[in-house]
Amino acid sequence: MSKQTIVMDEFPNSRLEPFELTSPATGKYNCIAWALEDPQFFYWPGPKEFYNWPKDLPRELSMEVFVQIFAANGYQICENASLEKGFQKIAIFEKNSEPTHAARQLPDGFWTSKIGALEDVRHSLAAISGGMYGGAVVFLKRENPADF
Amino acid sequence: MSKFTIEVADTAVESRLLHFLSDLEKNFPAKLQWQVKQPRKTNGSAKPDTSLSERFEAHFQRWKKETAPLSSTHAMFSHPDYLEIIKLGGAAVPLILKKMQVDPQHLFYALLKITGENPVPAVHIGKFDKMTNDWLDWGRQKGYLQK
Repeated sequence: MSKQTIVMDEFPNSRLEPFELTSPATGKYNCIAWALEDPQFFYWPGPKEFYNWPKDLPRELSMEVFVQIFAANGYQICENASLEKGFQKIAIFEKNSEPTHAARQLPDGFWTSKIGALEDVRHSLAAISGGMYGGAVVFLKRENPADF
Repeated sequence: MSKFTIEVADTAVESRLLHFLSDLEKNFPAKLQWQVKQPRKTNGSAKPDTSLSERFEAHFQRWKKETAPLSSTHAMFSHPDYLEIIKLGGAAVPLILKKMQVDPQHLFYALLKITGENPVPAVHIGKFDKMTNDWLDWGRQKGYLQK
């Protein structure tokens, strides 16, 4: 799919910051699946009958639990979103004290996100901050073998 | 006990009022007895009642539009229009299944809440296409959809 720069009303900063579509829309996977690079599943601690979530983690909408799912995939909490050579980063967003979204950093320092049941987007962190997802409040990183 | 009837002008107002009263009832159980209804149609002056399928479609489209950017199933399933779809009850099951055939969305939970059934095996959990097909197969077996 060719890249298409758009604006989404749900993310007012997308008017000012880089925000471009990189896939067709689909509800088959969500932001957590995309951040974990496992888009065959829809991850969320929702009804156990339908939504994938690690068995050893509580189905609880808390930042602590969201950090744990990334920790289980090799990520550790770090201080900020700045690009670090040899590391891949995750940003977890929060609004009204609940986690709302996760984005994965790309090798060029921009970020990739799955927007709900819509498209994947390449964006700056600021582009989706201050809107429907609130803000990025927790950052994690892991060594990225692709950079070596 | 207070008992009262509220007449409302149209389905949209009726729907919002039902939602509000349901919340109220949770906080003051058994102290209120209420009924919400639209007035009888006379001389063509009142708006015609909308059919179940039109009500379902309106709730579905608004829910889809307003929750599309969200990953949170908590937010999706607590949306007022999703709750209204559940409140439509068993009569809405064929409408939900037919919608899943042409525009698959996260309606699994509504079907579970309405029917009390779940045809999704553990190996399909989290796999959207497979869960959709499980529900459509269930609908065919139950006679809601053509085989």
